[in-house]
Amino acid sequence: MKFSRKLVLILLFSVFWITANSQRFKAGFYSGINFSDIHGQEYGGKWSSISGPSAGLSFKYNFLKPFTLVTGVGYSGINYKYTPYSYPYFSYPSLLEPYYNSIIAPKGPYGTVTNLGFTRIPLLLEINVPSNLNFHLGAGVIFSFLNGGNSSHNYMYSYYAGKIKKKDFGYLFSAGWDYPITEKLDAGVDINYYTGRKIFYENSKSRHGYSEITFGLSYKFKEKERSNGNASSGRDSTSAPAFLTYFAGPSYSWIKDTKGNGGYLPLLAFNIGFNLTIPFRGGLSFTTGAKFERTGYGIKDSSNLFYFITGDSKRTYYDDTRVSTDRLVIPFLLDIPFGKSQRIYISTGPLLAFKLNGRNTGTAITEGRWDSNYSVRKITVFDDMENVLNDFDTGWIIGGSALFPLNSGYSIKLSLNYSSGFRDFYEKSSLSDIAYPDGAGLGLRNRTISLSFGIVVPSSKKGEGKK
Amino acid sequence: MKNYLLIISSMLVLLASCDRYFDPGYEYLENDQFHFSQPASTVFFAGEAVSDSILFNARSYINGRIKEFTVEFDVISGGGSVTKASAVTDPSGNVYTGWKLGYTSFQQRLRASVFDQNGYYLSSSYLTAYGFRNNAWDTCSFTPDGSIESMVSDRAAGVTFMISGGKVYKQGVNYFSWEKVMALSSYSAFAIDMDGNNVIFLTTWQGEVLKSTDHGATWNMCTRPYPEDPYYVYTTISNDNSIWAFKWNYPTKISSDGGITWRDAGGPISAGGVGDAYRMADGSIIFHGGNCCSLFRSTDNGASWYHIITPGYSTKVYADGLNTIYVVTQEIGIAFYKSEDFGATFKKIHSVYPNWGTTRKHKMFQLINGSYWILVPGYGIVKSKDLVSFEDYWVNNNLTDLFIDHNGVIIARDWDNKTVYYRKNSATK
Repeated sequence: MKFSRKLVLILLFSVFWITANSQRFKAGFYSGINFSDIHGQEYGGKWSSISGPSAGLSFKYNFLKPFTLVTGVGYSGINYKYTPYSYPYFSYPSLLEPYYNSIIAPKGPYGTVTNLGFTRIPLLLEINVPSNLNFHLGAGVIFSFLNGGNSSHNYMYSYYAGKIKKKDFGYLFSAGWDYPITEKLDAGVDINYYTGRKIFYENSKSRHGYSEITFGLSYKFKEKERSNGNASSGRDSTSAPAFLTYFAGPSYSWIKDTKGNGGYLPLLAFNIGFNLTIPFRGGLSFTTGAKFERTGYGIKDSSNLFYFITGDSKRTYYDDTRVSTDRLVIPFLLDIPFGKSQRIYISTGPLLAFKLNGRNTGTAITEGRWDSNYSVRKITVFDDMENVLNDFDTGWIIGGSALFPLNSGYSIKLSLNYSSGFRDFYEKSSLSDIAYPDGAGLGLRNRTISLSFGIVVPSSKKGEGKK
Repeated sequence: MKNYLLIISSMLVLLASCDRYFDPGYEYLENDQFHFSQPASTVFFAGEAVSDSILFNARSYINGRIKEFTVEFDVISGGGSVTKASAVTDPSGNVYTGWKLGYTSFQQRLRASVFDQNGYYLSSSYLTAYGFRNNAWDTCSFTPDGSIESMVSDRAAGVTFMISGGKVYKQGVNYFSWEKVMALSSYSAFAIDMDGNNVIFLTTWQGEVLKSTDHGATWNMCTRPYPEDPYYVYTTISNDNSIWAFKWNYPTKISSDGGITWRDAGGPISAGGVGDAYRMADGSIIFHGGNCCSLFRSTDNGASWYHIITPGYSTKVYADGLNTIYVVTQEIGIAFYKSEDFGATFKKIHSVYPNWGTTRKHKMFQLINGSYWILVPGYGIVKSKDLVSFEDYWVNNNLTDLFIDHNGVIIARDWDNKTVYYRKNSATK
């Protein structure tokens, strides 16, 4: 898994060979908001995404075109809120690893909010993709140091505070845009995703995590004229005929049920991302990029579980649930022009997808009969499924796209892609024998049709930057 | 400008795609509770009516919801009958039916099946009652019957007392109804026995001895056989109305005046353990302790004892008041031997093969109306009229004790100490 991620990063960076900033050093500050996303949690309750502040100073050094090294010092207030099932004796269906590994930190009584403050030091490698709006993509690590914390139930916090690790380490993925306000001042927006790699609470699987959006200003320290004569404007330049496509659209995903239990429904969700297309000779081109998409499936059937249809004729629940996972998909597509217009392409190639989270939501109706009681309960399901979904998937994409040129070099790109996952949706080692009677896996594999509407942004040419 | 539009539109797509997830939890859509109102008693004779108006209540526990239920009554065991098979609940959720017990089983059950207004089955509730039958074994595990430890039956006076859970109970109007003897409620009863003059003796866990000379109406404290020791004493009453008291590490004692004075039994008796003693027709006394092979005879009223060698591993003795001795031995199973020459010779008269063996503190042989009832633990009940020929009355490997009340109702105790088996034969009153 670690190897795969490294490989992806290397591949990503290796294809972005376009030249970058002429200013070699930038310093700035940023401020924004983060939304907590605890990792390693298990089912049986909900960790609400709570907002917290983020701020800091950043330093960027463009040591080699188009790469920039980013560091700085910042502060993040990470807040967690745990919401367990409201009834303490709620009889949870035999699901994954019931109760035995349910120590999740830092949870307290119902609705406890815990605030943790971190000083953080990032170290990122950014690749810059010049366009009319300078786009950068980065990946790296963050070292964090716990400054302190508090809780809405301080007696609980005092109990578990000593068990929270003081140091943290994790991966940071970043995407952002810079816009030159003046010759020396850039305004920027960054969207970051952090996933902690260290278990931060003893005897648990919990890892820190958050998504973040920040806004900032940075000052460009102008250097002497460089030998390659790159423009000194606030706009980057490029030497390669590549173009970026920003896209978004609906995605329609479902599960291929290789064991034929049936009854699964498709899930309508969304996808959003960007692609970088590098043309070759003869009209062929290579496309890669990053897509954030939500996939999964739904259940409207009776079952003994909330996430999987199982059970004999007498089943406990009538599920109306959706299992979904947010994932980062990296395609490697070969685009083949169809016809002479070079506006219609057929694309195909492999994909890598990385799980960001996973959940099962919806409702389940269950009927209870005892000697002196009849009841019908409606259960509001929110189960975190992150631990039981496979961390990554491989697959194959096939699809087509059509370009509709606009003025000034922009185009509208309409794409329709079908992707097929090769790996099981679930990580079989995480499931209990009850949910996994034959130990061979649930046999559910992901299928997605994505429709995306994109805007193709042409890359800048030398000297086209803002004067 | 287009760049701004691009960013803004992307963010709008992101925001629009965010699902709202509700907090986990649950709510009741339906919550209906049903129950029978428990009748005053649940034990009856088979064929009796439990009640002609048993109340059953069904109602919704969702606030403010008033529901109407259809309730169907049927008897699912026992063979009884109901007076009303189906009814719709009134505004209070009540319906009524009558229930008369049948004869096909001891435990009998009435079922109330509840349906909603659309005829959809919701659930069932059950009411259990017990119908004591003639000529059948009725298994009873309720209190205090299930834990009968000791019993005495005064047939002349028509009373039966028993001990359960350390308390003394007197049999009530029915053979299965037991009433606590309040006059003895402050005592922790250990065992109860009766002599040939119908004087009832009660021993306690504190080593006290009480007696009643008026069939249990009043009780008087006797002299403690071991006043220096405040713990329980094993006692047995021989057929000459002597009380024999035994306590480990103390000499066995005898009282021939109804518990007023006690004397040492003397000789090797004390080493034999708690046992049984009989006065023979020739005036001699025989004694067998709980320990193996401890059969002794005294011809000088207990001043001296001599040992009688028994076949096998003898554990109990019984005498008919004449000059015949019966011993129970553990060989391959349990064997009964008979001696008509005070132990000079023994003849094997019967044997059985129990599932397990135990040392019993109670008498094995009970002579009732000319028949011997013999309880062999781990085997069952053996019956004989002459101790020559024997018949298996009830083979039940779980039995460990046998009691017979003053009317002849048989009550056998299970080794689990919480179950007894009642049997009332038609011939008994």
